Amino acid sequence: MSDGPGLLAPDFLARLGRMRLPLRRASGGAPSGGRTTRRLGGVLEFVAHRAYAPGDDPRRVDWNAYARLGRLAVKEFAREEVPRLRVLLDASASMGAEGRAKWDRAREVAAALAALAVFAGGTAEAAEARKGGCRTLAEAGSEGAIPGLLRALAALEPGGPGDLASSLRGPRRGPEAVALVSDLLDPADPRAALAAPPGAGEPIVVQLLAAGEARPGGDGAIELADSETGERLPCLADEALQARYAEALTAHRERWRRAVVAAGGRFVAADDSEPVEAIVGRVVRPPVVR
Amino acid sequence: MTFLAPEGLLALLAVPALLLLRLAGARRRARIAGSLLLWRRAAAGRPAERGSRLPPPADLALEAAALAAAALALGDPASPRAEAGETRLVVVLDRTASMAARAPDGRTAWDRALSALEARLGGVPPGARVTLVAVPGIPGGVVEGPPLEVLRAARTAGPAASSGDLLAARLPSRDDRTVLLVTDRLPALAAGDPTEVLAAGVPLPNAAVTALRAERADGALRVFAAVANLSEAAADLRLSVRVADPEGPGTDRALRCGPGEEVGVTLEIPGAAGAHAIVAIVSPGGALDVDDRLRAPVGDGRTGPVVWNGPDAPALRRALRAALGPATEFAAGAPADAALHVFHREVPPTLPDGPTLLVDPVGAPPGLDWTVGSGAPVAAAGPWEAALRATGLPAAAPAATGASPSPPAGAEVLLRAGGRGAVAFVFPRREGPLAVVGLPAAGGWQLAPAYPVFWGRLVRRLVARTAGTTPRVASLDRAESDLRAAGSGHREGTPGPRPAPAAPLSGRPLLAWLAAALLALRLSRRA
Repeated sequence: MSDGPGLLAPDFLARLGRMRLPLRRASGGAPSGGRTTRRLGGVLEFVAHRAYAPGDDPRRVDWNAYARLGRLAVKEFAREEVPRLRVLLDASASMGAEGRAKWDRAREVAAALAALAVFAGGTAEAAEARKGGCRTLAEAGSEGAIPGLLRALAALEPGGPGDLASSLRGPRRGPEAVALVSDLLDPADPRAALAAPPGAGEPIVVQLLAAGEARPGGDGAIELADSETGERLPCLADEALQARYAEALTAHRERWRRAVVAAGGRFVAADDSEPVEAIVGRVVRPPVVR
Repeated sequence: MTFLAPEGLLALLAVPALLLLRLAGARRRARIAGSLLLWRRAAAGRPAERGSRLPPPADLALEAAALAAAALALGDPASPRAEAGETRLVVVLDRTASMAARAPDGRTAWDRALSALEARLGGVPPGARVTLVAVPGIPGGVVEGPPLEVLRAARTAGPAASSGDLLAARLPSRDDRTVLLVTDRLPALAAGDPTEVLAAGVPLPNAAVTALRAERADGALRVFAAVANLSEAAADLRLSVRVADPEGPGTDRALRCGPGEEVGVTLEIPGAAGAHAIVAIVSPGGALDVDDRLRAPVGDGRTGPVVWNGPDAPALRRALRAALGPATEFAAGAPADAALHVFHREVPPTLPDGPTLLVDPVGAPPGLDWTVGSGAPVAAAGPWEAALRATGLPAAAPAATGASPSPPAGAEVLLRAGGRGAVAFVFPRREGPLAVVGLPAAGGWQLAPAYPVFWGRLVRRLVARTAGTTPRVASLDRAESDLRAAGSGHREGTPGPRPAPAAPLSGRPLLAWLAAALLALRLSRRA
């Protein structure tokens, strides 16, 4: 098990500082009575005037405009929200079933995404996703908190069944983005799972498979055992079955991709043979328009 | 079915070993998968996988069969030709007169032969081809067909009143056929002869007519016959004499013959004075393979005494009396009208004129010079050679030495002993035929009264020869086994020595090819 700071190499952490996580800064009109205090990383910008309505804060009345126009007008401000990223790491047993590399890579990707959010001046929350919901592991609002977040991720071990739908539908703190690092080997409907309240940030979904899951070899007659449910499936892993598996994987992946894109997010498929930097690079790179 | 290399069958253990290996290898390897989600989708629509990954049954069967065939080939299975379904069987069925001999139980040798043949054919595959050659032949000729058809044809026949050459009837057979000789006799088969002999199994005493002579007297035919019993027990026999040329009436006589005894019988057949030949048969008889039906010409009787020189030989005397007549006199000296001069264990300085018989001339002193007839010298190198050289004939080359003398050129063989060569010759002499009988004592043969049949045969032929009758070669040939039977103590009615079986058909090449073919088929399926 790697320790927290060792989860990501220092030079890689340094390079992450030069990357920009494409988080959309959610903006919204300041509701009447809304918070005016500056939040971490957020600023208030004037947007427009509107007619005064009973209940408006008298302090927002633009008396200069009243002097010029002879009617009460209220200043409208927009508050730039500090980006907040919730990194959900699938910690079900399947993440550790096909070798340690998959789980290690998943934690590295999750840590990198969280660090990216912090480097972007935002807040990152690392959470584990298992059946029954998700549990926050650590939060980092500054670079100094990153090592703690990394340690929390490094201490995490996979196990037990998973439930992506319930994990993604978990409580959200305002307009935060969600990054899911998972193998997505879950029967959940991607669109339903990714359904988010209005104003929520775009999702980032990284499907991380073991190399053996992405390209299963011919093992002949085998008996597969589900790492989470214990179910068994005797089969002959011949070329025909491998081809059908590849088709099923492609279709499954495509469903998730479409659901993510429909939600305005970004979908990256990778396997544990790919370096973490390459995976993260594909996340921050603008999507290729086809 | 037998295995010529049974240790090769240990290779059969490889068959269960193969199955065990296959079963062990058929256990599925367990593999932990992250999730069966995609695998179930991939496997949807495919037939359910079985619990093991044994190769297809056809492949496994091919492998096991190839291995078994190879192991069996190592064992070198062989099948006797008679048991091979594809081999053909030639049945030579003896239906000579002796097959009509009736045993005390009322069954004839023919009945027993058919029973034995039926049992033997019962073991032949129904699809096998069997050829029936009857001797003498049957009206339908040679019958060929499945076993049942051949058996049916044999049942329609019966014993004939004539004789035949059983061994010559085997000629149509080929090497790939099994020859089955069904007879009541002991055939004279050469060593290694593959012929299978199916003895009729007639439990008859070892009896035969040893001498037969007929004379015309008062409008009837007076018959003198001798019957010998070589069995170890006394036998109640019946002598039957019939006029053979032309076929006419006959008469029977019951007689009791002790063990090793030879009994002389005088019979009369009324109204048969015109006969030229008679035939006699004793039943139950069939003791020997020669002349169960003894045929003899009707003569006027031989006159003159038999001049006997040397120690007595009762068996020979009885044989001479039976052949020449019961009134035959035995005299000493050298009567001029002697019917026969016998020198037993003696060699005279000069051979007398007239028919002469030298019997076992072991008494000749080595190196003795003596003349024969014209006075030609004889250089005797040994007892047997001396007797031969005593003929003085120009063609009388030195004979072979030892226990297997070979007759010199010009000599006519009277009797042969199986494996011992000729033991009796007759030389044509102007002064009268000279017969020489030598039984090499060193080889275990000697003149003994235990062989009355032998002496009876010998004397009968000698008398016939001296009377100008040429012996039948076939009879002489068959006399070999007469002597052999007498010497070996063989008794009729018991199966004779089984000939060496035919070379077995080896199944190794076939199995080797089969194994190779199965292996090739298996490999082609894998490809």
